[in-house]
Amino acid sequence: MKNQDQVLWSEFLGKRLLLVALSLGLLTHGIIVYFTLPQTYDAYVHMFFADHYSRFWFEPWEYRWYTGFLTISYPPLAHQLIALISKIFPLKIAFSIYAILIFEALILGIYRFTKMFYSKQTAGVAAILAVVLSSLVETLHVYGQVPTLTGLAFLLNALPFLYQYIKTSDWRYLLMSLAFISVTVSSHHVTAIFGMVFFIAPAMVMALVDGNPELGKKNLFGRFLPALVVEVWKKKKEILLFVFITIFLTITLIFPYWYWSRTDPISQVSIPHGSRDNFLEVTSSGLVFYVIPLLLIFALLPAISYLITKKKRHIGWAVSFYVCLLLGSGGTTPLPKLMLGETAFNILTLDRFGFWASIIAIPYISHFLVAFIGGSVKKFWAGKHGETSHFLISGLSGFSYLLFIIYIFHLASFRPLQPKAVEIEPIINFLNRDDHMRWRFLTLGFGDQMAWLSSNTLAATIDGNYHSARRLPEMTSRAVERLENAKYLMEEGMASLDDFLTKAEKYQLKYVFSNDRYYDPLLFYSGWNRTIRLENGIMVWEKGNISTIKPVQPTELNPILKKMWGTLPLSILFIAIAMTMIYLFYFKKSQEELIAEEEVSSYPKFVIYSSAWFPFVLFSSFLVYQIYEMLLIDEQKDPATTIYSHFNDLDFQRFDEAFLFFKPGPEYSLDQYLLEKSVSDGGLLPSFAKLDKLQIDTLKLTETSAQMNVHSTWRTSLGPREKEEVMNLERIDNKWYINPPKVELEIPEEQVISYTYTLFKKMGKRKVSSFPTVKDDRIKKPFAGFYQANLVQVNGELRLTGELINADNIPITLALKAVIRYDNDSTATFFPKKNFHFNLAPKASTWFQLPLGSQELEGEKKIIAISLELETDISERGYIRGGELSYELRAETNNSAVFEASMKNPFTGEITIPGVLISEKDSLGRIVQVDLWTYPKSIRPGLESSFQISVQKISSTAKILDQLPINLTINGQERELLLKPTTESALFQEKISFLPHCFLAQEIYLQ
Amino acid sequence: MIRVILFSFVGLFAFGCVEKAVEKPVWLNTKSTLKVNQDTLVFEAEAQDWKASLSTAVQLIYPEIVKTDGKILVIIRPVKGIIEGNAFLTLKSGTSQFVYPISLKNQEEASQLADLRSPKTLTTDSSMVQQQILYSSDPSGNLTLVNQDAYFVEKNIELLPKTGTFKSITGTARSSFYVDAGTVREIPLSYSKDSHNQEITIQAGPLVDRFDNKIANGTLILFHFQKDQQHKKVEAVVQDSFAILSLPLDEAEGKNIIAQIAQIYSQPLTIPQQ
Repeated sequence: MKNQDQVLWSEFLGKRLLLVALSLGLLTHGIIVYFTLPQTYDAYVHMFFADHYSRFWFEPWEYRWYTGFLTISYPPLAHQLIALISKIFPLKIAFSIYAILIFEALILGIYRFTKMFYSKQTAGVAAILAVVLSSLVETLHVYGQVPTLTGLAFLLNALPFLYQYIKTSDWRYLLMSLAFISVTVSSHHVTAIFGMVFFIAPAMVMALVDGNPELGKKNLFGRFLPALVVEVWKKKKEILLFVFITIFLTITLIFPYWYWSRTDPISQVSIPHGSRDNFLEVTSSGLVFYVIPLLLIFALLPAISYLITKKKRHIGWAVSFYVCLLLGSGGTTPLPKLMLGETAFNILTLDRFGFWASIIAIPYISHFLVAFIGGSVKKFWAGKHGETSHFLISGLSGFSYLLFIIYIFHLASFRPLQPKAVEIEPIINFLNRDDHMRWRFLTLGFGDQMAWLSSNTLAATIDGNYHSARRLPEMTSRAVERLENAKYLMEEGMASLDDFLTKAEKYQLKYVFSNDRYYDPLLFYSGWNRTIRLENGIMVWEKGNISTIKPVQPTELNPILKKMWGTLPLSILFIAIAMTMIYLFYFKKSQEELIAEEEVSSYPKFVIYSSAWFPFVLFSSFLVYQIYEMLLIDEQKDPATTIYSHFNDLDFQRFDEAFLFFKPGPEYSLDQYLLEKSVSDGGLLPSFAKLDKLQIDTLKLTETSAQMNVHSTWRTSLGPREKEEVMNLERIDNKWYINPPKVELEIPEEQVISYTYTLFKKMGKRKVSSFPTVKDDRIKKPFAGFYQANLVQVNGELRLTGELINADNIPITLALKAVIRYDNDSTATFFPKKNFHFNLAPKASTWFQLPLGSQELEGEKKIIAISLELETDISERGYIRGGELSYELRAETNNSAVFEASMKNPFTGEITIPGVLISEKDSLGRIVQVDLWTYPKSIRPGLESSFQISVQKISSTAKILDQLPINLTINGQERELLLKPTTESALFQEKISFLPHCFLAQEIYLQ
Repeated sequence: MIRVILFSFVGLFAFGCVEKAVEKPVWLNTKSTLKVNQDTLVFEAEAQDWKASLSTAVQLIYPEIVKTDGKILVIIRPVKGIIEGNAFLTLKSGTSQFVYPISLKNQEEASQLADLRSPKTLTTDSSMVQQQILYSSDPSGNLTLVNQDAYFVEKNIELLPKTGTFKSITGTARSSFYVDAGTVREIPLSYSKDSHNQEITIQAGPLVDRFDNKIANGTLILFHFQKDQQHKKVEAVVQDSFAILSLPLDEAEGKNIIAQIAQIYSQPLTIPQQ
């Protein structure tokens, strides 16, 4: 038992430390949060929700993402409060203000939470620790998860009241705890649900043990547990009352959320999350989700374990702490999956468990720190090793920890989490003008800034950043978080993006804002045209003939529920604040304040030594490793590492660094390298690909030289591509260098070449009017015609193939689709993928192929009618589809044909992706397949590239189904096939034909 | 006490209902269509504080009210942008209001003749007889009679098969006819060799349609070069009715050349081997 002076001193010091912590929190987080939030994962998503409430407080239907979703899918309090602040301040500042306020509330919560365990002085230290705790710093500055912090702040504030209520049965504490828990529920449901298990239950156990001092003295495996059950029985009224009211409030306060999750359950393919990885295999996930938030906990694990198991009152916390620590380890061991079950494991993000473990550990860490800095541990250490060594170890540990925290603050700089900031004003202006808002848009390569763009416009995107709410089958059927970052999600991501780009009409998707040229080839070959490069460097891609947004029937919600959602959460917050005021001014003064009297006076030597050294060792090792990885790693220690490092720099376009791996010498300078690169490199692989895999095999290895075979696999938006090359290396001064490749430059004979382009200009509206269309200004739909249209069956799958022509005198864009009507009166729509010219010069023709997949020819889903519908529109400027193409059949069998082909570039810009459209005809000249073939390297102006094209023939197995007539419509009017005269020339009898289909990155036509 | 309260309530109700109900004004000169600034609506109504408002399809108008002995006159003054058609006149006195459906007609103003037809652009491949529908409207966009009894007048215009832009009778740029060239009639091919530079120039043209109009600039022409199994395709565009292609002599010698525009092919041209 402490004497009264000690208690008073502890209380005085505790409050002062709390004030210091609050001030420190304000100074550090308050200053930095505005600058870190653009780099966080979630801040912009929460700002988008806040923007929703700011605009439509009582309307939960948010139409701007995923063709519409309900915002009742996320508890609203944090968002509503940010929305309220945003009525005065700009949204980003409002978010920052809210984040600071909630962090201050969290510091207060941790102070009050720690008081349940130890003295006020310890609580004060805990409050200061909260300011610099890595898990909290990461949650705010790396994740931007303010609702999580809100939920935690109020939960921690609720726990002391609950503790007092269970201990004293005073109903006023019950009311206070319920008020705070209600706020938790209204701000973050996951914290509320798991908080019941990991925080509320241990707090109750602690109160029960503290309520009966005799209980704590019993043997844990003897009479303690039965006695605890008896104690629970004695307090059954209090416990049941609390539990029932809490459940009632949890259901009532966010009833629309529960209603939504029952009536519209999430049924989507699980989206991979780094927190479920095996951290030993995926070390980057381990770093972000386990090491950074928990390094201090691991460093002080001996002390925490000692304190948390020392007394019976901590038993609940011990269970919670170790279970959370285990669950937070993700897929490193099979235990979390076994404990949570397959479904929960694949839905939950497991880093939150590690986060909660770090919160539970705070009181124990603080208590040890108090002892270490000025308590029993210090006395022991100073007595044994002197004051100086204690000062040194304290200083070094503290300093290395602070450096570690600074590292977390700047984590986004070391490991970019988001693309560079995009100025959104030019995009907003684009959406606002000419009624562009009447169609949906899609962003590519924006990262979470897509949510920030959405917050600033009323235009709708097909994508979104809250995957729990989406219901579009193209999204829920694949493990794709967002279309926006599809390239990082491998085949599934690109397949999903491909779906949306192809079926743009289905979702009235007309504009793509691209911040990453990786997607350019896919966009181009899916029929998208570049229309304008905005001032911020963003390229706008557009698809012609897309209908304006069709109204989507919002999911109906009872008006009373809407009102509840808009009023209850805020009301409960105001009630909690009012009750706190009453408590502070009238109630707290008359009550004995919560002061835990537990004091651990001595620690085992193992705990003292390990907990004294571990922090310094771990933090400094971590920092040294990071510095080593960034600056000191020997990237040229052997031939394979040298090649890996060289390719790594090439992949991130760090050419000056990639050059350093070449053998140094006056004959090969950086200038020469860059020059050779600029004239020899270009095309799909060098410009639009991401390195996926590198396989390096040693062909020859001596002490001073090596010859390596490098097999690289690249991801491109048109699918994976592979490349094989042999590299020679030399060893000089213990470092391996790559011998520069010998580039045999092809140089055109001409010094200057010229090419005559015909550029067109669509004049647009000639009457200045804000009306969408002035009738007099309407331009007629260009003429087009079908030469042939065939329904082809190949290997059980159907496809529509054919040929069509731009019969007009202007360049046009085409939108083609097939509508199939089944016997049961249902319909399905199909679109061409990449086997089609979506733009045609005047009088140009193209082949087309629309995959219909497996279709039944009998039964209820029997096809009864096929309609091939073509829409034409005037192209913005014009179109070039490729260079001079020559080809010659070299070998042919029944199933394949090999052509030697070459393409010459007569233009003034490079042909970035040389490509050809291939068609195969049957003996009657009917097209049975159309395919796209691309070459990975560009062709510079005036030059020619040769390549071999292999075609898999299918005419022997393909069957043309004549029994189903194909109804043709062009611009809504029925049309017949155009007659195409046949000629005797062998030229036109060829079974396999080619047409150029190339991507020219130079914005001549912006095609 | 109870009686006092009871009587008080009875008294309150009795005196509370004393105010006389406002009677609906009677429209004396009922008309189906009212002309703005010309017709006056006369209502028989007891002297009250009447206010009038007119709800039209696009705006709310406050007509002028003149009160005379037992009558009120409602005069609708011209307001910019009145859309003709159904409207509702509301007469309001205190909390009572009465609605009269009317049909509104603008006073006659100078109107502009416009035409409504499709297509405005045609090629000489299609029919040169085009339908024209004329109509006129006042500055507010209300249709006005073109003839004595018709709002629309139909005309058939036979255009000459000559390319160009032709102004219609309304004389505005946005109502012009655009006649474009049709499909090329034939593709004459010729070549010239430049032995000094070892180049050959292949010329397709003059490329005209069946009415001798030059075919459109930018039209795609495809040159096919063929020799045995070798096939070369070169795309070019027509400029001023010619398409000219220059290439090294060895790429053309000994090959058959056929030019193609849409479904029209040239006669094969063979470049002799030197």
